[in-house]
Amino acid sequence: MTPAPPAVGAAGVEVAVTDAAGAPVSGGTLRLEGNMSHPGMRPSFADCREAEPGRYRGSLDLTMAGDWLVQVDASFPGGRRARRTFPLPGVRPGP
Amino acid sequence: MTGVPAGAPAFDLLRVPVLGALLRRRGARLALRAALLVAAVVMVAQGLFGSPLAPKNVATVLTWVHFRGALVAVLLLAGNFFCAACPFVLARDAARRLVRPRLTWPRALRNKWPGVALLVAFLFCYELFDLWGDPWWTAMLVVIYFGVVLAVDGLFQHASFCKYVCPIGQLNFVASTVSPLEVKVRDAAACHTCQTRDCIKGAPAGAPEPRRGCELALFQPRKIGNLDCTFCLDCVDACPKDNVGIVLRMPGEELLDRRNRSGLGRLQKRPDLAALAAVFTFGALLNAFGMVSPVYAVEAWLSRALGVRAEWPVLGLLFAALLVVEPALLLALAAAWARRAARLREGLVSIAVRHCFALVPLGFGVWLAHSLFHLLTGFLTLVPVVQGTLADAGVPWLGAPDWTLVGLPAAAVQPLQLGLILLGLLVSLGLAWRLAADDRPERPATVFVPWAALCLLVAATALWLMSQPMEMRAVALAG
Repeated sequence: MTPAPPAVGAAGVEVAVTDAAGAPVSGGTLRLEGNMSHPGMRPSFADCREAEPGRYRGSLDLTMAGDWLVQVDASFPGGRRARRTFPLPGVRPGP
Repeated sequence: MTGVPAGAPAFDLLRVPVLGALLRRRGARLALRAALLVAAVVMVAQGLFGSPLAPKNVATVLTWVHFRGALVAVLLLAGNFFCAACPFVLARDAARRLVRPRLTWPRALRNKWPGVALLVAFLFCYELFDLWGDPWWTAMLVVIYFGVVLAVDGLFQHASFCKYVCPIGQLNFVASTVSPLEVKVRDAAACHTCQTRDCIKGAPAGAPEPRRGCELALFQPRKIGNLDCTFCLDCVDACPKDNVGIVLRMPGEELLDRRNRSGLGRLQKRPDLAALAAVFTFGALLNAFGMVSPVYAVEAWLSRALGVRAEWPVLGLLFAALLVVEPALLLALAAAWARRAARLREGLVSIAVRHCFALVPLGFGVWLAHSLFHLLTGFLTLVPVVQGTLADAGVPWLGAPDWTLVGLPAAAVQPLQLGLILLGLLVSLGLAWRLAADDRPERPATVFVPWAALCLLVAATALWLMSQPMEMRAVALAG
């Protein structure tokens, strides 16, 4: 995630996807969803594109300071799907 | 001809067509509690088995965005109707059909100290477990509440849980002193000839029409204000003369009343109630402080100073400082200043207890500013959450979730927050002046200035907090 530590505004997100053996998984479609930890706030969505084999990049708009949760929904050729949620604590106020 | 007797209150909600008739019907009130019981069951099921993400779970959205905001809004505009609709009472009454409680609440605990301690514990757990950000813990909170209600009111007679235990109820009682409506006798003279005292004793089982009297020990003719009143309207049902209404009154006025009130005694002789008022006011600041940017720096600094990584010692120290030491110190300073300036002969505790109640409107203004912010900026988020929940359950009747539905922009709500805090300040200053005039009719300013200074300090702190960047925390120490 860039910048580090994260701040309000556009945040660069890079997701590495590997299989059980650790080999990069290409050709997937990844969608990011950012939610504040507190209910009642607007979520942010973004799509990722594959920048290099198994590495997907996107830009997520962090609209408020505080603690976020970033959910990654991935689908791959052959119909395989995966979902992971990552905590993104301590997003700082913007400049 | 209106059928309203001469001298009757100018406005009585129970005389409003349709609404008044509905409120008077026990069945309608039971239906309201039953609806909230169903909502509670849905919330528990969702909290335990739904999305682990708080913004996408019905339990957390309903509890921390809608319920909390609606609660304070109803208290501001009407009265303690959320206690009236409490679903826990329905569970308690159902359980009491099976087991009748035999014990009376211990005499040593017939005060607000247990409520004060539990309110502090509730606010502490809210921060420690990030209740707003955790559907599972939100559900468990409801489950624990049901368990404690059934345990306490299963053992002890009357509404012991409501009167002495329920932390949310204690908040409601204090806030409702600033509400515009009060459950009150319509015509005091009509009570003079009353021999049966049904409003407090009820009519026993076996009577032609069994009725429950006030479970919170409030005798209507000597009841003053809303403290300890859950708006259950059992007294309305019980009064054979139809002499109890929900009448309009001056908000906050009851905090000045020095008369002996039924079920409570005299406010100025109740340090436990004054402590509740102080926790209500300073707890509002602390609760708002937990949501703004500087709390990160303070927690990180304390963490380094204490050399700990766990959150509870840091949070415990913050609570002790901001909810015990700071209020006690400020109240003592104001009391000492007033005693010296006005040459009062009482002890500091006595002065502080009497004047502490002036802070309540300001504290309520802070609770309103905070809770209404969440409600107004997020009230539409329930729509996509329900859409998503139904869709996940294979019932996509409401279509795909529309996550663009949120609420008002924060900038649009901020003037309202400012106005609510300033309104609370004005009412608090008015109360402080009148309390000062009671103490020193010839020189009220000597007593007023210290308490006005305290009100201004609390208001300035609240305004500073509301001006800080809002952060939605839900993690342990930021490090």
